[in-house]
Amino acid sequence: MGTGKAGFSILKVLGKGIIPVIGLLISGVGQAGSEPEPVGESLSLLSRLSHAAHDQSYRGTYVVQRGSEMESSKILHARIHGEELTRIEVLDGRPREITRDGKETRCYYPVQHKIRIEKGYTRHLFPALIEVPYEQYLRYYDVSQVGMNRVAGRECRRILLRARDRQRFDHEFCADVDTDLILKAVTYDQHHEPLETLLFTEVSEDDPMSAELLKPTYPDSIQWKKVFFPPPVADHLSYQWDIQALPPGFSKILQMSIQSTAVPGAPFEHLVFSDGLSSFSVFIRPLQGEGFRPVQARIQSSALSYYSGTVGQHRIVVVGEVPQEVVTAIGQSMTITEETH
Amino acid sequence: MVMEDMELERLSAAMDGELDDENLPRLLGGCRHDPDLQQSWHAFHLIGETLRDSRLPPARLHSRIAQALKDEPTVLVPGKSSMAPPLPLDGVSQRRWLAMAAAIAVVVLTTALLRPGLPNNPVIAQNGQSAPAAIENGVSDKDIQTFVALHRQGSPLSEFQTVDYTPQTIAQR
Repeated sequence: MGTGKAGFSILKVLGKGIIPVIGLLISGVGQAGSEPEPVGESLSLLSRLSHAAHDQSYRGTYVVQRGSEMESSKILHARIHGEELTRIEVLDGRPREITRDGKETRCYYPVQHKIRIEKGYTRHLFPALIEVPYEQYLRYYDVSQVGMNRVAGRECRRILLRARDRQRFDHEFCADVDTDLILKAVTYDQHHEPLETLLFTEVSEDDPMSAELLKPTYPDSIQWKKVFFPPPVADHLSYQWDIQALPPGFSKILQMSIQSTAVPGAPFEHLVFSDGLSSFSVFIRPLQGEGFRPVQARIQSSALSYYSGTVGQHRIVVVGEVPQEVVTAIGQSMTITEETH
Repeated sequence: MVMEDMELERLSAAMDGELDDENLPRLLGGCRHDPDLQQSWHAFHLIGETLRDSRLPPARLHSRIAQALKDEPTVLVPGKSSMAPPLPLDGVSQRRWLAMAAAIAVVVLTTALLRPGLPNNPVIAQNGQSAPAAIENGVSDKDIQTFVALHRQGSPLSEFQTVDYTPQTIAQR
């Protein structure tokens, strides 16, 4: 690289590994200086991203990358007779397939002959990552356009949702300049290092798409075991919980009682909180004589942080796509009040 | 990443006088219109000048990086890592990683300076519990994988197709 006639090149001295870092540095400087869009513009932008993902017909292959881990999936999406239909086939590892229509989301596990069926909430499936109400994003993120990029052979506009506090991560989307479809989504940590990246490696519009293509590919699945989600809330909890250090903007979106064979004992109460872009789970379970040593950790190769501890006679686990200090603060600030009879 | 790596390489080659006649006009045209490319041009010159300038006092960067690494929380790795053992680094690789570490440290400092937010010691409401032990060194919590899988299944905002089915990771009631 270019140091002029001085006789040495930075690339030769430092190696090509410096290139992405220089890009990152420039990226950080540019983003720090980029002005947030006015509220009206931001809402319009978010609305276009959402509608593009929900209303258009497209097919493509996208990759989920977390650190050194990578997994690719094929997606087909269309709106047919007003109903939004999606089929995702996971291409790596054991086969899995996801279908979604206006009523439910199904995940097929053909090796185990099981189907997981979700009803009652909208699961975010790439590239449909922005949902109404769009105002929710503007309370805790600044929206700005920070330049252009090229993904899957297409020009795209980089849109940064920069967290206004340090209780959540920054997110960046690159949206196709012609269709507004999100081609790439990156979650950054507090040092602007990418934690998770989802991106199309190839994508094309496919209008109109045959409804046949969006049906599950397992015709014999009627006999498969069905697991329904979310499971019901426990009939009666013997305790009341409270989180004193709940990060602003996060609200409870789900509560259910779950049992996993990997964690024997009483069922866990599973609470899910979200600010619209990120989420964390809180698991609560009465202890049955066992002891736990508190553990906090940042999970390598992902945006996840983890905290495990005890409050009174209950085990608490907090895990989610938020900074580690946040899950720790949540876990340590929890109070459990036993009901008196 | 702001810019394609190839574009930065081309920029570097141009500054070394090594870019071919076909790509040079295209790059210069890009420099006129692309603010990112202009910033890269200035950044490369700044780095070059800094490397050439032997009058600059030592920045004690190595000690600041060492301190930053010391302050970083230990990372727990759930389950077995499929990563291959690290290969011994040759001289060039060592230099490359050192350079990357230096640049990342700058990013960390820049981010910290620019962002208001959480204090160094987050305000934590007390609940009578003793604080957790210091982050455990190299200890893997056997439950972590399970709770990560349960979170990814239970949260509508998590990429749950990355969760494979095993009796341990499918929650049921």
